Amino acid sequence: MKPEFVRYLESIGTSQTLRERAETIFQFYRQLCPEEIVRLFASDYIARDGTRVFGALWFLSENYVMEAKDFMTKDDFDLAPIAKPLPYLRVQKEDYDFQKATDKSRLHLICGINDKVGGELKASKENCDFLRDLIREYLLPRMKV
Amino acid sequence: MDAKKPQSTDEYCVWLTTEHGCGPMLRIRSYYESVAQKIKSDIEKSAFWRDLTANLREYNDQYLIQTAFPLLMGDGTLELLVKPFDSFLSKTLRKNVTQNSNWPNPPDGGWILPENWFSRINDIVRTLFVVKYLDGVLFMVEKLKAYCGDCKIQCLDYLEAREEGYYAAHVYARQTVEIPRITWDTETAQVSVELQITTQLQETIRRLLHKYYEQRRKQPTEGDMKWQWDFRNDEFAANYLGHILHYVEGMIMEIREKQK
Repeated sequence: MKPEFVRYLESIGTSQTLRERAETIFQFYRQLCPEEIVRLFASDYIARDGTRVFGALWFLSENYVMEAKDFMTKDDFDLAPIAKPLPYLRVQKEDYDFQKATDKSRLHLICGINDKVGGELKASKENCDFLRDLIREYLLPRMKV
Repeated sequence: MDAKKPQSTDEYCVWLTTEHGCGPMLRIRSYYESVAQKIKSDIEKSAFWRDLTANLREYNDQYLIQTAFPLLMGDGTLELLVKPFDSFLSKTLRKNVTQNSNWPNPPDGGWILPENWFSRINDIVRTLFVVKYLDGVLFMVEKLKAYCGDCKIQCLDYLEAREEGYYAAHVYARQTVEIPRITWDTETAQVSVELQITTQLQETIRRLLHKYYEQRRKQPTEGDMKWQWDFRNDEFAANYLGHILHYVEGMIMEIREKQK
């Protein structure tokens, strides 16, 4: 896995076990995706009992989006081409100023990837800043008509 | 040796003073509390504790990959708790007197007194891991034993299954700590940290019944009627609730395993 991906996963407090699992999935997607994988995002949320749950891993290339659903417990992988322009984006946020995340920050993104497929990405705590960057640097430029 | 068996905490305090020269109880309490806080503080600063906290995330994710279910309740933060002096004193009363089958002679291993009780009582500082499922208890025991082994720390583990419906696993990790003596010079002592592992359901019932257990422990056993037959007594309901929950948790595991 790219060093920046490892650094990202470390910075959001994932375990070594999770990172090893992410590495396996990354290697799988490298075989599946015809392009270089340029971004990684680990979708997470805080469950009612306070547990932090990492639910899905998103890998992005220039023209494709890949999601590994419930990646810690399942081998369930999809891949979809990204429509241009990107058809839809919805952001919901809580205790987050889009500047610097706190432990209370939550960010929820719903986006249309093409006319058939959509995606739902969640972030809590420091991970909100990474989802914000993904919106700004990856998704918004692809919405230009 | 005065063979008159103390029947209450007050009598026990007098017995400690008159038979063992333990000094005024206020001083003993203050000494206990300062040493217990020192033990807690030293353990919290140790690499053992710091890395244990970090390892929880690993254990949780390893269990998740193995079973598709999360291991732990909550956000994985650990809290080290100090046994309150009254509970501690009550425990020494049970060991020295109430449950001492050698009375009026010392219990096996000798009297538990201020000069040795930090090494002899094994749950002065403790922490609790709450797991979601019954098999998580055994999983955690194995992880903690392996971790103690990695740290070259001696440990003992017990799977508690008491007649009174109490179910939990205890791992005792021995730590070397420098503690003040009652004369305020210092000594190096081996103390145990109790790592208690229980399930969410047992923890809920434990919290509800904690006060009841504390009171019951202080009372000497009396009466001929076994609690199993005394259905009007609170003990009957409380103890059987513990057993029923344990059974239910076993059934939950069976259902979970059938879904595989």
